[in-house]
Parts: sequence; structure tokens; C-alpha cells
Amino acid sequence: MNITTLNTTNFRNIVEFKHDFSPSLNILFGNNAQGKTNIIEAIYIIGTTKSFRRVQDEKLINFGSEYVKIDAKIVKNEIEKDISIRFSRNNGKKILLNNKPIIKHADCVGNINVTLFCPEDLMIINGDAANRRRFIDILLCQTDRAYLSDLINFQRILKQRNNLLKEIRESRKTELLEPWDEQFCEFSCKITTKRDQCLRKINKMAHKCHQKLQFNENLALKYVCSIYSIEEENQADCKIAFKNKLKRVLNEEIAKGFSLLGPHRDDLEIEINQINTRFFGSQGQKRSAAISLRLAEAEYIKAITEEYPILLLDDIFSELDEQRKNDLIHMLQKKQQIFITGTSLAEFAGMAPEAKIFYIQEGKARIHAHTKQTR
Amino acid sequence: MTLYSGALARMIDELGRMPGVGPKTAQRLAFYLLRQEPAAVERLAKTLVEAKETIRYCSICFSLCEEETCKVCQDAHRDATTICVVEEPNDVFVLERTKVFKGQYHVLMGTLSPLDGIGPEDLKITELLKRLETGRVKEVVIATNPDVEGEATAIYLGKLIKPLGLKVTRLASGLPAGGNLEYADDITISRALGGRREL
Ligand SMILES: Nc1ncnc2c1ncn2[C@@H]1O[C@H](COP(=O)(O)OP(=O)(O)OP(=O)(O)O)[C@@H](O)[C@H]1O
Ligand SMILES: [Mg+2]
Ligand SMILES: [Zn+2]
Repeated sequence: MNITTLNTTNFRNIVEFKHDFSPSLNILFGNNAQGKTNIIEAIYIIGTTKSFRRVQDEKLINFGSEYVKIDAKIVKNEIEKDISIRFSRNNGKKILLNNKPIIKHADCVGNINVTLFCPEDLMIINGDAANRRRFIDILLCQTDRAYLSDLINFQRILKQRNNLLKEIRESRKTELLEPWDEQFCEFSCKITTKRDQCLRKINKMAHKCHQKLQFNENLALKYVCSIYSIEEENQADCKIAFKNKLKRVLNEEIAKGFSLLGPHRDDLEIEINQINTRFFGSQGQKRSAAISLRLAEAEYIKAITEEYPILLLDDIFSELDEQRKNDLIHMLQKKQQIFITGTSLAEFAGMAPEAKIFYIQEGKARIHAHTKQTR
Repeated sequence: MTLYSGALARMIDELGRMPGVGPKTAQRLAFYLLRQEPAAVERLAKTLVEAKETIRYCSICFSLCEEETCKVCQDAHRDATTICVVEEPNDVFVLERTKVFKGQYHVLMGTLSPLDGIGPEDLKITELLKRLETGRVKEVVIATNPDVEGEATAIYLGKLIKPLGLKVTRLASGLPAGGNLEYADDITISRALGGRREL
């Protein structure tokens, strides 16, 4: 799976970009605030239709322009496809696949998969549980079409249910919960089961990847689930178990006016040598744990879709010591298409000969003279 | 919005209250109407007022009609043992278009939705139960939309009606999940009607 050409207009500070990429390694280097992350962001949007920066689409439009266009040629399973994404300040977002409009934008997700490594990944380790749920949810959305719609339904039911709990606290009858609880349990179990299954696989992969970076460390991920003990694997059991648990907390839920149990309360425990990394890990340990999680994400996507995702490594090399940098390069070698950013070419010493190198300055990309001719 | 004042502002405000009409569309419609001949605008206004005066809800099933009761409720050939429960009057037209369903209808006028403060007492549920009391009805087909609110309403009705000893079925999910009856095509709806499952 790779992106062969990217052609953008008015994307943030990059007024015009049109380049072919190497199917293996691409390096983007330049000073701060020149547009490196913006290019990474454009590629990420091709894969997911949304920015990782969690901003409204309008923010992507170059200041003073009316619209933004991101076109890409991609190759997946040896089939070439054209993806085009446009937003305009007046007419919203449009996505075209092979020149045909896609009505449901979620249908576009999964045409091309991307895995982003960035300094903010530290939040998965350090931040509150919402960050870790987001990590697993985004991964599942990329690999399982039904998951996104399960998640959307669940969130809607949760909102309705929370509202109803508040109304019951004021005056309404408790029986009114029944039709919502039926669906609340169903979607909670669906989501929990999928997360749990995914995490079991990720756990093994992350452990393996982490040992290659840190041979003396055992990384382990555990799903901390509020609705059933992880042993009850059967979904029917899960629904019954959850319903019973809900009965026990009903009064507390009514008093508090929101749902106390469910996938929206779950967490992912990340341990190194059986110690919780979030509270006890060193800065370096946290960083490498975050990288291992992303490496495992890429392995998981490979296992499900049979192709490695495009790897986007934004600013993570500068934080690693020589040894780990080398280990990481070694692990990534030639498996997939890679985009790496950094502020100086020196960071990439040793990998540069086979890479296509772009120098980014004031929103313009120039092919660097040392780039070996690719393809 | 401060750009416009007086009659123009009022006009844009009124138009903008309609579903699916944002401020921009409201402005476009307003300027369109102002460009028309006075007679054309009068005709539109008169049509709206007349329609509002003559069209009302059927006193039995709450679909739209111009008399006390609707065509379906008046038609003696319709199967009075089956009632199809829908969310909105428009859903009756959608289902009638397929010509597959031969029974009668009941419009709930919405769905359960705590977020919008809508509970069972805001829907035409008491009226439905009254119709079921007559003993003629054998089956209730629940054709609320397959989104979470439609599903909750279906489950609620099922729990209410089944103890009466009636067969309660749900429109089979040939309909896209989270979808809407209004946007499904006729073939999909016919298939859904054919394959309804027991609740
Ligand atoms: N919508 C926009 N229109 C114009 N410029 C924008 C827009 N959004 C962001 N920018 C500018 O783009 C510039 C480059 O941002 P980017 O994050 O790509 O830098 P970078 O090269 O990755 O830098 P660093 O090395 O500091 O990470 C920023 O200075 C920012 O002000
Ligand atoms: Mg950057
Ligand atoms: Zn009627």
C-alpha cells in the first residue's frame, strides 16, 4: 500500500504541492514552522478523511483562500486509485474516489491506511483514559467498517440514557430505561468485545516490538473493562452479565444522573515489567512504549488488511538516542512506505542514500540534490 | 444577520425556521421570492394558508387527510387485522407507494427521545392502545426507523402490546442501519415488509 503522488492546493501554508513519492523512504526536512507536519497531515487526511490535529476542516484552508484541495494517487493490492478531498468555506466537504463522489465519508476510510507516530503520542501513556480509548477506537475504525457505526450508535444511546437518568432523578418512571438499556447493553458488549479482541492481538505485537527496542523490558497491555470480567468471552453472556451489573448500580446512576458503566468508562493499562508506565515510567520509557504501541498498530493493520499501512513519523527521531534510532530504522526497513520529518538531514545519516529527500521551506517543497533517482 | 432589518429580516427569520433551511438558504429563498411577480407570491401564500386550513390529521390513525378520516381508514377493503405503526405522516405515503402493505396505519408523531424531552405521553400511544382494545387487530407491525430512537420506541411498544396477546413484528432490517424509511427505495421497503421478524 502506498501513495504515489500528492497534489494539494491551498493546504495550510502550502499553496501548491505536486510531487511523486518513493514507495519506500521519504524524508522531509527543514526548519521549524515551514510546513513539514502539514504535508504529513495531508497524507493522514487522505487515509482517514480527518486531521489528527482535531480541528474543524476550515482550519486546513490556507489563510485568505476559499477552498482547499488534496488529491492523491494511491496503490493498494496493486490497484491504482484516485482520491480527492475538497473543503470550501461555503460548501463543506466533498470526497471523490476515482472521480465519483462518496456520500458517506466513512466509506472512504480504509482505502489506504496510515499510522502516525508523533510527539503527542506520549499522551496515550501519560494522559487520561480518553486518550487510550481514542487510540483503540481509531485503530478499530480503520480496520472494521461496522465498528464506527456501532460507536456512533453507542454514543447516541449513551446521551439519551444519561438524559433519561437525570429526568428519572427529577420525576420520571424508572421503567422508561428499559428500551434504552436493551440497546445500551447490546452496543456496549459489541464495542467491548471488539476492543478486547483487538487488544489481545496488539498486546502480543507490542510486546514483540518493544523487546526489539528495549530487550530487557516486558511491555504488556491490559483492557480494564467495566462491564464484564475479560474471561466471559461469549457475547450473550456478556449482555446478561452487564444487565445484572447495571441493576446493581441503578440507584447510584439515578442519583448521579449519568451512566457509570460501559465502554465510555474503560481504560487500557500499559505496564512495563509489571509496573504501570503511566505513573512510574521514565520519560524515555514512556516514549519508547508509545512507539511500540504505534508499531503494534501497524502490525495489526498488516494482519487484518494484509498490507502494511503507510508510516508517518513526525518529529520522533529527534527524541531518540542513537541506539534506539538504529533499532527503529532496522525494524521499519523496507516493509512499507515511510515518511519521516526532521529539522536537519544529519538526523537521518545512514538512511539517506535510499531515500527521496524533500527540503521544506516556507510552504514549498524542493527535491534535495542528494536524492538518488527512484524508480 | 444584523445586515438585514425590518420586513426582510423577518422574512429570512421565518424561512430559516424550516427544517433543512440554514441562514444562507433562507437568504437565497427570500431574495428569490422578492424577485417574483406579486401574483406569484400571493399564490404561494394563499396555497400555504389553504393547505394549512384544509389538511388535518386523521382522527383514527393520525396520517394526513382533508376529511375527518383518511382514505386508508375509510377503505373497507383494507385488512383491519393488521396495523402498521410509523413515526411520521410522511412514512405512510412512503409505505403506500410500494403497494405491498394492505393493512391500516398508526402514526406515532415522533419517537421516544429523552434528549428532546419526548416521552411516551407525547406520542399517540394511548390512541394506539384504544384501537387495539376493539379486538379486531391481530398483528402490529412496528415500522419505526432503524436508528436508536426508532429501535427504543419499537422495544417500548413491544413490551406494551405483547401482553395483550397480539403478534408484534418489526420491519425486517433490509433497511440500512441508522437509516430512514423516507430515504429507502421501494424495493428495499417491500423486502423489509415481506421479511418482518417477531419482536
Ligand atoms: N490554514 C493555514 N493557512 C496558512 N498557514 C497555516 C495554516 N495553518 C497553519 N499554518 C502555518 O503553517 C506553518 C507550518 O506548520 P507545520 O506544523 O507544518 O510546521 P513544521 O514544518 O512541521 O514545523 P516544526 O518543525 O516546528 O514542527 C505554521 O507556521 C503555521 O502558522
Ligand atoms: Mg512539525
Ligand atoms: Zn387514518
